Amino acid sequence: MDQLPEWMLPQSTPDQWRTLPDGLPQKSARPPRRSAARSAVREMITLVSGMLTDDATAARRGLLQSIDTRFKTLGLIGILVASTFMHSLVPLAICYLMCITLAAASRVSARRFLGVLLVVPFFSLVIVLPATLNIVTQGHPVWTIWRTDGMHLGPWQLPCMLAVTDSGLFIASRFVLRTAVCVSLVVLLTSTTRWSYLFHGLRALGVPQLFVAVLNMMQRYLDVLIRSAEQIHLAKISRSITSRSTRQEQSWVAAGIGALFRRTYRLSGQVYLAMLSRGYTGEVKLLDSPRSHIRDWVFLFLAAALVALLLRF
Amino acid sequence: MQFLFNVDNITFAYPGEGPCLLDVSFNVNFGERIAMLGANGSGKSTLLHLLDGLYFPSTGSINVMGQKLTEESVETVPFGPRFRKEVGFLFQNSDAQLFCPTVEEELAFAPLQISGWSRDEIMGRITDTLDLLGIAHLRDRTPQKLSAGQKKMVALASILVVSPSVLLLDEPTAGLDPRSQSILLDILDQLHRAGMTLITATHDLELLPHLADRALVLGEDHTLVADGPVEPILADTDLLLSVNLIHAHTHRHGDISHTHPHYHVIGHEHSHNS
Repeated sequence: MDQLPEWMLPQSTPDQWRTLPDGLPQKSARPPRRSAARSAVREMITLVSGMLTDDATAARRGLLQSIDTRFKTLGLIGILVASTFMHSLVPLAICYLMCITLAAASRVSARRFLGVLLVVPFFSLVIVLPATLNIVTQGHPVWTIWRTDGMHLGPWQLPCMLAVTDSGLFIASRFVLRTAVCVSLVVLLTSTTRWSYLFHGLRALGVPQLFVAVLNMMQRYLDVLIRSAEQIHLAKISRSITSRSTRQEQSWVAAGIGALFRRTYRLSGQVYLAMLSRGYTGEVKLLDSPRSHIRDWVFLFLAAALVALLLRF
Repeated sequence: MQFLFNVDNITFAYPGEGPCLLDVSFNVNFGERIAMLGANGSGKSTLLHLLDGLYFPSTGSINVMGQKLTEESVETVPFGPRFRKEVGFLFQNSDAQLFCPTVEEELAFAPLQISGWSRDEIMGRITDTLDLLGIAHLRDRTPQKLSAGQKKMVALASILVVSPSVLLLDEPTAGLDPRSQSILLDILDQLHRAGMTLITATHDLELLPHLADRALVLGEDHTLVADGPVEPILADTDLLLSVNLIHAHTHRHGDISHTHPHYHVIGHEHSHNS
């Protein structure tokens, strides 16, 4: 057994600790700040992991929880598909209100649902914002941002003004509302249904076995993957002595993605083999065979009636 | 007296989950060798994450050399860099700790961030560390393709290469073959004798006397139920049974069946004549 090299001997007395070793920064180039990226990563991990592993909402007694998964899937996905054909704002707004009512009646966590209600419309608004301008969507200007007075940009003549148009606003509102409705319906479906029942329901509705098997694997594995990514991130922070340049950070992210991919590839193979060794054939098996009740047919009828009514707008 | 760590009445819960640590308080002096004992899920690993400034308590506080450990303070110069250099953390899952394409780059990751160290010095440290741990032959290998024991040794090397003063070890001997385990215990013993502070989370009572002089015992209710020298804690069968570190074991000798507490502290006999 080799002796410890001289340099490895620890500086473990309080006085040695107070003396800053060579090479470490004496003062910061910028004021200390809370790491926004770190908080965002943690929030994202909590949210996604909660969605994938938390069956608490599905286990609650609520309106959507009491509906058979096959009927619920058919009804909610039917409304989702219909919403993509709705051109008027009124039916989309009605759908949105209906989602909020269903969430309340199904006791979906306000934190999770409000997160969707607020975050998704915000991001979709950012995406669709350029479409509100007259250079993308022609229409009557409702807010003039900048008058160019026939300015030229090289060989190109700019339009006489940059303005938000009524048609642009209508398109943006419809896009934001439609996105919010679709995502809310998916959150309602996934949070009020146990994953195994959801996959079983998809198979019962004729979704191909391969597709459902892939979804099944993804759900089982994604949480492991997210935890793995979090651990890599924490291990890196633990060994990050000084703040590094953006270029160094980018190369670390690339290396981290590579490491995660290798791990993912190996672990996903192992997960699949473990499932095979316990008799998995690609079909989803449940402890309780689902049976339809009158309320399931009523739910499906109401969903179909709503779709038919809203599509007439 | 200045403590290295002063943990004052901390509580911690992961988002959306119940408390993982409840009203935990203790101090750590320089050069101590401490083991955190507890059953699976008692909060040992979480407590190490808190001591390494990776998670932060929901209530209560942790002070390191009198400086409060917060999300802001670990980003502050000079405390943050000093803290990260002096406190090394060996994760339970070595896979998480290894993210570079080769073992050499893995060991160079932390030293490269210390601007005062030349390339020659860094390469010298890498060579010394690999030799010390008996893994010089792995220098150009991809960490992800190593065995679990080799990964653990590379992860330890990646921490020792910056000569920390404090080592936080999460189940360090788990998954190691006997030779690697022996090398690791010898190195930890040398580091301790040189003055390093060692804090180890484990539920391996067999190795406890080799790893620590003092034990902190976490109960299944996530509170600190005992803090004291290792020997009396190992002798306290009622305590170990109550925190699920040992269990009642029934077995037979011929026709006779009897039950006694079962734990894995192995004694051995040898002569001192030679």
